[in-house]
Amino acid sequence: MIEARWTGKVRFLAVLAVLSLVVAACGSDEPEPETTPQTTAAAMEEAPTTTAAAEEMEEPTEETGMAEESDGAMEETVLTIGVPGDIETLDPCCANFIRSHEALLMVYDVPVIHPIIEQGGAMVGDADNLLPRYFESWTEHDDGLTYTIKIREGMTFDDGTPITAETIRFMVDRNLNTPGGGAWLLTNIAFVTTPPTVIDDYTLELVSDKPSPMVMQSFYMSSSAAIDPQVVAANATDEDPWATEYMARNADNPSGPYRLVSRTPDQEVVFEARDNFWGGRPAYDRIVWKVIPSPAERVQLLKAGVIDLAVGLGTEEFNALDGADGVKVVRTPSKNMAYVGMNNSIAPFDDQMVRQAVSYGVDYDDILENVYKGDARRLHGAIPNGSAVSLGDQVGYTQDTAQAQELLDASSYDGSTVTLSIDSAKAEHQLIAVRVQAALRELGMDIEIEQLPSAVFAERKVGKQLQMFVDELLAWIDDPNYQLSLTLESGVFGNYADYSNARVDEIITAGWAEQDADARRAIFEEAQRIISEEAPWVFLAQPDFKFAMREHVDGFVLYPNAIPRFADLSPAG
Amino acid sequence: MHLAVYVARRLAYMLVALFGVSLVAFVVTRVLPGNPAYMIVGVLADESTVAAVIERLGLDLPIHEQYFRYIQQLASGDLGDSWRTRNPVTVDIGARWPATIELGSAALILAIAWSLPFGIVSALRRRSISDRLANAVSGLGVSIPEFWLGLILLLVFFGTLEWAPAPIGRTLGDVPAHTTGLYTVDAILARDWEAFKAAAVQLILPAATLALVVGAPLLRVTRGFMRETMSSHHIRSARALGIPERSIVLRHALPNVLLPVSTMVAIMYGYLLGGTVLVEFVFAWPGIGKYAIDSINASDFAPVLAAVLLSALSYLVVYLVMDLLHFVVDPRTRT
Repeated sequence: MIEARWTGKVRFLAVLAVLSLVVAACGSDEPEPETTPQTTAAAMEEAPTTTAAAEEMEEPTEETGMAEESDGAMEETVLTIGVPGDIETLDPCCANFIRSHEALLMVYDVPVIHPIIEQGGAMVGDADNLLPRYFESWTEHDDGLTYTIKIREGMTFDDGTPITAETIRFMVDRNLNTPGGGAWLLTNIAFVTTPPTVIDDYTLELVSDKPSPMVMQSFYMSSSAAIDPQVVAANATDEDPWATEYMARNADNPSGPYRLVSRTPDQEVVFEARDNFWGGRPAYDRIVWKVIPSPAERVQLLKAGVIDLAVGLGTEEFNALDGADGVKVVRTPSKNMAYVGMNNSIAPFDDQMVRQAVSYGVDYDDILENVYKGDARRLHGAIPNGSAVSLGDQVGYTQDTAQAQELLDASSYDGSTVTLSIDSAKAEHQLIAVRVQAALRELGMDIEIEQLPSAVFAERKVGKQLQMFVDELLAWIDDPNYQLSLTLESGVFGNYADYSNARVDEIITAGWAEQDADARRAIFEEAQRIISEEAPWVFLAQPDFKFAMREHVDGFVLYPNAIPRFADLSPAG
Repeated sequence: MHLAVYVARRLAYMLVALFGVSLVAFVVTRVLPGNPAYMIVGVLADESTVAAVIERLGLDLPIHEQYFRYIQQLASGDLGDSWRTRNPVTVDIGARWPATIELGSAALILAIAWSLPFGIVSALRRRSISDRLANAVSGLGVSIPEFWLGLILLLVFFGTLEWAPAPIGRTLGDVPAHTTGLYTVDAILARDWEAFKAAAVQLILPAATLALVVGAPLLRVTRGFMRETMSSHHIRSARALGIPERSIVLRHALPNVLLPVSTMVAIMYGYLLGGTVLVEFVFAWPGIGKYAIDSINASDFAPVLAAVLLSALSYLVVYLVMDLLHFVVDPRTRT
C-alpha cells in the first residue's frame, strides 16, 4: 500500500521532470520562471537493522562487547542518529543548546535522574521523584539548609581515576565561578553560593543560603556532570583558570557511559561504549551522530533505515512518517508551553482588557487541530497541565468572540496595527501567528507578522522590546516556583512579557520557604488565578513530545526536560 | 607591460578590494540588529551575565574601535573566534573549506566536461536535435532551483534506484590520511583506493547537481561565442583557403572562444568556492556555505566576516589567475 503510494509519487515527479524538459526544449533561450519546489520522499526498502551504518564501522575487536550472530561471527552494535546540527559546546557549565546537553549526558554522569514510569504507553521520567546516580543518597538536616550527600563508591573516570567527594566539590566550585546555566541553577534555585565541604572521600556537606524545595532537583541537569579536575587543571591558563575554552571543545576522561572518539565538524560525532562505567557497559557499542541539516532528508534516511533515530522533526515531518514501514513514533503529553506573549508595558497590551479580549479571540481548536494535528493539548494557565499544582481548565479562556469584541470595544485599543514577532527558525510559530492574525482581524485588530532571525528575536525578546510574540517554554524542573520565578516574576530576565503583579511576587517569594505541600498548593493556585485574570500571555497549547526511530530501537524514555538520553537505548530483543 | 608590474598592480588592487569588502561586511554585521550575547547566555541568565558577554566580545566599544581591533587581528592572521562552535574561525574554516573546494572543483570539472563540447556542437549544427537539446538542458539548468534538482536526484538515484549512497556527508568509509583535506585527492596520494571510492561516490550527486546549474550558462556562452566566431571574417577566409572544417573549428575558432569562456569559468568557480548553501544543505555537505548561513542566523560575526572575505578572496584569486593566463596568451591585454 505504502510502496504503491510512493511509487505513484515517483511517477508523478518523473512525469513532471520530463514535462519540464519538453517545455524547456520548446521555449526560447530566456530563463524560465522558477519551478515550485516539491517535497520529496521515496519508496525505501528495509535496511539492515542492528548495523545501519555498517560500512563505516571498524573491524570488531574482543574489547568492544559484541553481539553474536547466527553464523558465530561477532558484530558491533551501532546506533546511528540523524541530528540537525553540530554540538555547540562540551563544557557542562555553559551549555545552552540541546545538542550539547544530549552529548554531555552521554559522556558525563549526573548526580540524580528521574525514575522511569509508564504513561499512556510511553516510558517517561517521573518529574515528581528523583533516583540516585552518582549521588548515592542524601539527607536534609532539620535546619532545611544543610544536606549530607554520600557519593557512590567504585565509580571511576575512563582512565580509572576514582570519582570522589572532591570531584563533586570541584564541580560545584567550577560552576559557581563560570557564568552559565550551572551557576544560575545553583545560585537562583538551590541558593548555593559556596562549594560543599568534603567530609571524607565519599561524603559531602552542602549548605544553601536559604531554604529551597529544589536543591536536589537542581543537580538533575547536565551542568552537574562529573568532570575530571585534573583535565581542567592541565588546561587552565591565567586568563582562563577554569579551562572553559578547552572544555568547550574536548570531553577528555569521561565519567559517563560513552567516550567521544571522533568529531568531524558539521558532519559526524562518534561515541564509543565504556567498559568500566559503574552502571555497566551500555547496550550499543557505538553511537554515531550524523549531521543532516534537512529535516526532510532525516525523514527519508529514517524510512530507508540508514539512520535509526531522527531528532528535531516538526509536525510536517511526523506527518510524512505516518504509516512508514519499520518506523515508530514515541510520543507522550508534555509540559512544554506554547504561548503568545503580550508585552504588558507596551500599548495596547498595557490594558488588561485588551489582553483578555485577545485571549477570548484566539481560535484554540484551530491551532490544536491544524498546527499540531491533534498532537497537543490545550494549555490553560501559567502552570501546565500535569504539574502537581496545575489548576488545568479551572482557569483560562476559551474562544468567545462576542465577549472578546465587547472587551476590545470597551478597552483603550485605538485600532493601531500590532506587530506579532516570531523566530523565523520555528516553522510552527509561523503557523500559529497566521491563525492568531486571522482570528484577531475578525475583532478589528490588525496584526502585522514580523519574522526575525533567531539572534534578533532573542535580543529583542530579552530586551522586552517585542509588542507581541509567539514563544515556547519548557521548564526543566517541574515546580511552580521554578516556573514562575523564571517567567512571570517582576523584573526577572525571562519575563519577556514584562508582567508584574505584587501578589504574585509575594507568592513566589513565600513559595521558596514553604515546605508544607498543601499550603504551597494553595498559594500557587491563587497565583494561577491572578495570572489568568490578568492574561499576560495567550495560553495556547502543550505540544506532545515526539521522537521517531526504527522499530528495533528500544528503551527510549521521554524525560521532563525533553533531552533524550541516547546512552540508555538498546537494540530490541 | 611587464608581467611583474602587472602582477604587482593586480595584487595591490586585491588588497584594496579586500579592505573595502571587510569594511562593508563589518559595518553591515554590526549595524543590522542581532546581538549574539542574548543567544550565548541562554534562558538561564541575568543582565549582568549579558553585560559580561557583551564586554568580552567587545561589542560595547564604538564601531570604529571594533573595526580597528578586527583589522589588527586580521593582519596577524587571526580571524577571531566563533561563539557558536567555540573554535577559532581559522580552525573552523580549515575544517570546512576543503569540503567546499572539493565539491566546487568536481562540479566545475563536470560542468566543463558536458557544457563545452555540447555548446560547440550545438553552435556548429544550428537547429539540429543537439541544438534543441542544448537549448532545453541549458534552459532547465538556469531555471530550476539547485536544491530542487538535488532533491529530485536524491529521490531517483538514492530513494528509488538505490544507485547512490546515502547523502550524509563526504564519505561513508574511512577518512583518508590528511594531506590536503580534499578526501579524493588525499586518498589518491595515500593510494587508498577504498577511501577514494567512498569519497568519490559521495561527490557524484551534489557535484552533478551543481554541474547542471553551473554548466547551463557556460553552455550558452560557449554556443554564443562559437556561433559568432564561426561567422567571422577570419573563419570565412580560412574556409576560402580550403582549410579542413575540423582544423577550422579546433585551431582557428576554438582558441577565440576559450578566452571569453574561461572568464565565465572563473566567475563560476569563484561562486562555487564561496560555498553553495542549498546543495550543502540537501546533501548534508559540511562546507563553508552552510557554516556561513548558520553563523548569520546566530549573529556569529567573526565567521560571517571570514566567510565573506574568503568568498571575495576566492573571486579575486580566480580572476587574477584567469587574467594572468589572458595576459600570457592574448597580446591585446598587454597594452
